[in-house]
Amino acid sequence: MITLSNIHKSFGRNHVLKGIDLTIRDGEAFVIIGASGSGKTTLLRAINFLERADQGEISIGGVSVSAKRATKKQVLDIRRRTAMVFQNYNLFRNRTAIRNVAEGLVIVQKVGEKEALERAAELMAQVGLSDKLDAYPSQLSGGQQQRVAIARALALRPEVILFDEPTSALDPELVGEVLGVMREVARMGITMILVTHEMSFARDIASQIVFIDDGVIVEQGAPIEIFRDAKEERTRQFLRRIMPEFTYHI
Amino acid sequence: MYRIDYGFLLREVWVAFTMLPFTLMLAAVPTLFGLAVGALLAIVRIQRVPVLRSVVQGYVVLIRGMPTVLMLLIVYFAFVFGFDALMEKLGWSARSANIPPTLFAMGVLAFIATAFMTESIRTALLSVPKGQTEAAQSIGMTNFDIYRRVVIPQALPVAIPILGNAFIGQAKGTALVTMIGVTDLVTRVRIEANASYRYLEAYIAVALVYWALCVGIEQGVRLLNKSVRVRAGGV
Amino acid sequence: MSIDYFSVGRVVEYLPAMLRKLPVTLAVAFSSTALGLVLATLIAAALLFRVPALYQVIKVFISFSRAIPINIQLFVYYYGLPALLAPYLLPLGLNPSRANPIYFVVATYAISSSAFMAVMLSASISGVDPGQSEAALSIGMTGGQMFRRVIGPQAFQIALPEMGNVIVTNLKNTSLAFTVGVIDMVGATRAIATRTHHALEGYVGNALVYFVICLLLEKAFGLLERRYRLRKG
Repeated sequence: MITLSNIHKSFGRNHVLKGIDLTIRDGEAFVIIGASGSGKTTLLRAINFLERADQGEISIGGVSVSAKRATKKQVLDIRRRTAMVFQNYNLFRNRTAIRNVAEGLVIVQKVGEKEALERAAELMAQVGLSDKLDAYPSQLSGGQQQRVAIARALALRPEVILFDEPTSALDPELVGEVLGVMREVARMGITMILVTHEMSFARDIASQIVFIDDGVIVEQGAPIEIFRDAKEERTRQFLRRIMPEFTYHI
Repeated sequence: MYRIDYGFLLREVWVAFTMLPFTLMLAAVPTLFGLAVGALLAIVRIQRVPVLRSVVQGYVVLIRGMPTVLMLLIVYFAFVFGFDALMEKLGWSARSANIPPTLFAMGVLAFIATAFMTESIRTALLSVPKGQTEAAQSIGMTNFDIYRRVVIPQALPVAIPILGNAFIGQAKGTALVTMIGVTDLVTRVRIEANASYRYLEAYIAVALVYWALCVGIEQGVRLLNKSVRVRAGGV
Repeated sequence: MSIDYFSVGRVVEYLPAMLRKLPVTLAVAFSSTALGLVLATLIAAALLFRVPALYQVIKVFISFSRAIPINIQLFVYYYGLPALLAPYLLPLGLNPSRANPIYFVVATYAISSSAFMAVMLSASISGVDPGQSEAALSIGMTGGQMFRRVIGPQAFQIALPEMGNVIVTNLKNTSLAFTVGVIDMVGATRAIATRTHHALEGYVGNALVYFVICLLLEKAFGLLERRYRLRKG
């Protein structure tokens, strides 16, 4: 279980997160939606301390740390319980695809070289890239890079995978392959927290959806509650704007 | 324990400082010459003028791959020996010893400056995206107009820092002219040090003056760059 | 003076004597670059971590090293280092004023090029896409692991072309070592010139040798760059 309590974060005078409380149960596919600049990405990055929150508490799998006072060791501990898939993939450019997947196993988890490569190869097969093991990131399409990035995250067997708009940098025709792999991850029962603009995908796979606006949680619920029966006007407005066709379908 | 003679040091800083205009001239005249000729040569390379373009390329590669001192010494000796030999053959009385070495020095420095300026200008011109030229061609501009109205204004903000660095390089190169008998700040200060063996102070004085000169140029370039950038609409 | 002021024959004739001193020239160039790189690494670290006081001192040092002509720096260090070091070395029975001038040449070029290389290193390290370090941290790497496995190798690739420039510059600067009495290639040429009264051929020969080595170095670095770009682009 992951709990965030009272997370605050400011950049200069800009108060981006204004006291966020969330609980994410194991195995959940937890989707965060909201307009650009609403603070959703910052929230995601605060979970693994890529952004250090100013205030609040983060607990993952029974380890609870104060955002403000977390020591280096605690931060490392949290990061080792999580993995992240970035908007811009961020594969290590100086490593081949399979090495990218094996890197965390060898360096962080101290798994033997041979075993790590075997596991990496399995995961590469799982994301459908068995033929690209030795390709460098620059030789892969965006969709392929993102699938490797997901394999890299899976390899660590983290308690949760954080997805930060994983398809928004992709060409439209490449979005499908990445969503396909993510659907697979959700089906495997791996806890995931996903920030996305892909509303129909969110509706399909999410167990919970939370709508954030201006640094606060406006509404939370199952997909059907949010997409069909949103209680808050702000939520409805956001959904109308982002998926106008929605109103016609239902 | 070596004790620095600050009085002497200060005096030499002043001596070196009074020679600064001369050094600045040694740096600026060849640079300006190089700028003018280098612009032409850069265009020769970019427009792929047959034969000439290979000659220019060879010249640039040669100069860049050779230590400046050797360049200076070679041209100096070639000119001195060649000139004297020629005069002797013609039976004239003119001798190279009567030509001020400052002229040689400027000639060689200009020869070197031109190569570096050619490269700098070429880099700056090539930094303008091809689409800009194509757009200008598409509305029927002449080559001359394309350079004047589209390419050069956009290349300028890129060119200024590069040219500024080349100018600083030239200024530093002037410290070598003492080797072919030019009486510059290095020569002056060394002569004074010969009497007292205070070479350390002498060269520190020279170093300080060059430092001030180059930092001054750097600041000047920065200001120029700022004003160009503002006028170019904050590229 | 005779009409016979230049002959290709003499260029060829003097070449062997000069080439015998080429190892000195190369040794100065490469040892000063290597030493400079070590120094530069320390300086770059201080720059990147913004070590208080030290940061300001380094800024001044870098400005000094970049602005002052290298032959002037050579003299400053040649006369300055013995004065500075004598109190420490004399008790050990070493007299820095009598040391082989080649040490001062190497020291000067090492110190001077370390300024250039420090700027190059810190720029290449900050030039690595921040997403790379985020990815490294997100999979739980420590700072050290991140530097060794991800940032370092990528910064190396960025730094490579500039590194080539520094080596070429150091090589070309060795042509000034004769001014403090080192008998390298140029020193040998000057000795020939005094003996034969033919200076020009010697310098032309020297220039050719420098030119060829510079060209080879540039080719070598070009190949290295391509290799790293192809594999890791």
